[in-house]
Amino acid sequence: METTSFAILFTSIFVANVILAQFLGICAFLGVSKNTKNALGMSSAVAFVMILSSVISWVVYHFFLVPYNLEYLKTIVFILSIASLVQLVEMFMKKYFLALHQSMGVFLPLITTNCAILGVALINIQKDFSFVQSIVNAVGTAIGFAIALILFSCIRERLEDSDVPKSMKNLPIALITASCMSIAIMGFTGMK
Amino acid sequence: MFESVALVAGMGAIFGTILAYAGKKLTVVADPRVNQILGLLPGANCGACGYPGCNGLAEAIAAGKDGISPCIACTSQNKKEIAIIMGYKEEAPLSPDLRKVARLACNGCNNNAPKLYSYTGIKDCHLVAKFFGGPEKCNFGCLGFGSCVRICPFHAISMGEHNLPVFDYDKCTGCGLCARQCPQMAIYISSAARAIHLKCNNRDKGRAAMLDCVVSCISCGICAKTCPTQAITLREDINGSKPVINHNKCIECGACVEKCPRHCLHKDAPIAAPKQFEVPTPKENSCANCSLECSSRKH
Repeated sequence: METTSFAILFTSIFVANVILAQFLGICAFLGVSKNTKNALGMSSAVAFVMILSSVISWVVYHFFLVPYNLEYLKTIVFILSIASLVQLVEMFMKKYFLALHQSMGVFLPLITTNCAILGVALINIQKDFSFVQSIVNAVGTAIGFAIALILFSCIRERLEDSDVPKSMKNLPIALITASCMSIAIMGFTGMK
Repeated sequence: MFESVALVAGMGAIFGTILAYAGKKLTVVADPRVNQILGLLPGANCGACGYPGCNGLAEAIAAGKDGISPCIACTSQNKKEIAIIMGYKEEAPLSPDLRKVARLACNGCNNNAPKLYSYTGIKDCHLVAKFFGGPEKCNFGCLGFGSCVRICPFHAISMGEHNLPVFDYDKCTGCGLCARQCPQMAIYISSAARAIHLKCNNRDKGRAAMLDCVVSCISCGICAKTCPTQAITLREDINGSKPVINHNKCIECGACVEKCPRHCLHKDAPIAAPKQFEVPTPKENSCANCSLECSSRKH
């Protein structure tokens, strides 16, 4: 299976956008999209954790699970290793990089067990990506996540100022907006 | 079977040990006083102290960077308790001169200000101000759409019957959020002890100002000439002209109030000395207790 890095990157950003096409990480998508500033913090935290988790999960899978034929344990082992690693990194950041911790520290514990993070780790294994390819996939997915989240937060900021019918205010109109964005992204899937 | 149990258990044990060791090694000693102080601050996150919210101030106080004074809204009782936590000596009580409150420099109510058009859109001063400076003919005065009411974390502002904001000085802490919010800059913060106030924000002169409103200041200068202590001067600058009251010279005789042909100088009733302020209870859907930075501040 020979896939170029560019194809992986483009696929993970647009065609199989983690939020709008695969519907992973919706909780973060709806929860932290009320303003752009928080959306930026969340996306950077997601990018950080995603790359970290795909590295650790690839290493764990290929050096611990495959030699013992324990591939069926991947989900639980991935959750275990990702959560502990992020916890460790968070402690480390709190001690030595306080500014970095303050800018994205709140979001780190929130997303360690997010399905988008685990999803990328599992997709890497499913599609049989090499180490470099899985990092590229993680970067692309993180960019896709950031694009979707930031665009959505910009729209929601505008929505706050628009005259929305009372029954549609806040979450209902946000969900409708999200579905419209999803339809737009689905256009990529149809292109052959 | 055995392998899988051993692997998961082993990984759990290894990660657990690493985390426990790291938790000991990398622990950051948090100052327990921060949370105590935070509990005593008003929790309105108004930002008047210059720190990012009450948490920022609590950290600064606990670090000994600042005294207790920066918080305007904190009750004297709570300040005393913070002083005890920090081991400071008690601060002297605030004098009434030091109490700051918000005031509105406009009297262009429904009856006084002629309208250019009627506005039926979203009730937000910033949006309204974009349409020809608001529906009133005067481009300086209060727009009456209550952005100040919505931003006040202490619920001290309400819209009066004449469509002008009314300040409840039992609740106002002088934090200045409303003054910063007002797109017309018609709200200002001044000492509670001051009595004579110009209730107009109009910077035009003569006929231009006269057409704007029934009670507009036309910068005629009669107040400046009348004042026995020369406390009022007519200031002309790039923003236009407007009488300025020097409250150090003002003896509050009220001569200017009587002579003002446009009835825009007023003598306010005295405002009480600093009161015990209650900790605000959030309205439904209120931003008051939410620490997130929020662009619209609609609620």
